[in-house]
Amino acid sequence: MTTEASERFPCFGTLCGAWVSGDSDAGDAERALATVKRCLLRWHQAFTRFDPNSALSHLNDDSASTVVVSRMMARFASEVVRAGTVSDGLVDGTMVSQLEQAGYRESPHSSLSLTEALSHAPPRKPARASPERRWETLVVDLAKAQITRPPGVKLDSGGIAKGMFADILGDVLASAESYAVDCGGDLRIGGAGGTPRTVEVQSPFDDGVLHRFKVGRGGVATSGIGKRSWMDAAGRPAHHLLDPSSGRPAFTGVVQATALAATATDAEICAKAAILSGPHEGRGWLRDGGVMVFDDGGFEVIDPGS
Amino acid sequence: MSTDPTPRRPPPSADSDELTSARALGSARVRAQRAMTRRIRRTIAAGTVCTFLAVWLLIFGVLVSGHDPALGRDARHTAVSSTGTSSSPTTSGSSTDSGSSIESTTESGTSTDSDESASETSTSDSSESASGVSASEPATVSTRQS
Repeated sequence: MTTEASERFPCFGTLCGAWVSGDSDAGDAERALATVKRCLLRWHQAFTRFDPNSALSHLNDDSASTVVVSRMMARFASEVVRAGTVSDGLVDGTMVSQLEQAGYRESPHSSLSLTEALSHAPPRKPARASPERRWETLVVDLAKAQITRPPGVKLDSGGIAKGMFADILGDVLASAESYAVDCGGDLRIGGAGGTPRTVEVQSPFDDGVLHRFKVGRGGVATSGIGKRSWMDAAGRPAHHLLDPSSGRPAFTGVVQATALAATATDAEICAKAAILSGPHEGRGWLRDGGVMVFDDGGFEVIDPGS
Repeated sequence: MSTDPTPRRPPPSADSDELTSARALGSARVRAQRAMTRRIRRTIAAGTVCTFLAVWLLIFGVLVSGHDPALGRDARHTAVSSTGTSSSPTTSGSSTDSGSSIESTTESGTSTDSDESASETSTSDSSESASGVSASEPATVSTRQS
């Protein structure tokens, strides 16, 4: 295997990075890394909900029913629709108002430990889809890069956007001997050489390594409630994974889910759906492999194909 | 007066014998040179063919033995081998509805060694880059909540 170059940098409120060996459509490894970094930083600026001047904020604040957007934004909107369709509304990327009501108005922060949050959490129950099904009201014209939606329907980038970015960059790097793109924990792995790469799944309680997978190509994503937890104004523990049916932070008995899938976007959808579904139905979302971590710190590994 | 069409030959003399010898010698030398040329050509041709066969056999042998550089690693080890963990690894693949496939091998094991992992997740203002890292397999990456 040729020399592998890598770079990590702060982006999306966390760390992102890429590992590349060999030449790809983006040039040699160093040039490819520069391309990855440049793209991710640009997309971060465009897709952050916390900057009122971002493209996403402009879209969400636009009162027109049909808005012309960038091709990337249109693609993201189509992924929001697909996520809702695939998960039957469980993974709902239109809950911006509910997120803000829950206190998630600025860049991610965690003022509450996971253990403390769980000790004050309400009784556990699986999440359900919102009866409003707002994601179904989105109409996306990819060819014209237009989004049509009813007034008040706003899009939240979150994990779906990160998974999408990882997939797009993965396609650019596909001809490299080996590559991995890390968009804040959402991974896309591959390369012409087909050499498997070790992926560590971190514990949400102590940052230890729970499990290791070897992935030749595909996507890996982890969703959980540990990194962004706080106490809301009413003194209730809150986090960013909402139950669409209630608009409140979901406490399902699963605190973290890692999913393997063909793409990073699919992995993100499966991970979110798994954690929102709870311990009994959650493993059904991890058919391609994954790990579920429960309230008591225990975890279950789901082997691919099981 | 009649003309004799037959060209006259010079009368025999001592010079003609010398000439004849010289011609014979010259012819012999030419023949010798031609023979040497033929030998040289045969030698070069034979050497070229032998060299080609030797190189071809060498490459064939390398590829057949599994050391295909195009695959980036020893081609005999197509599955992932387990390393350093207690339970037996399982190698499996699965197909999604889209037709693409995932290849993964699980290695069960719990580790509380968080030094490496913590450095991967810490948020800092500076970037980290590394190049020239030569390894027999790609670098380990981590998936985590973000």
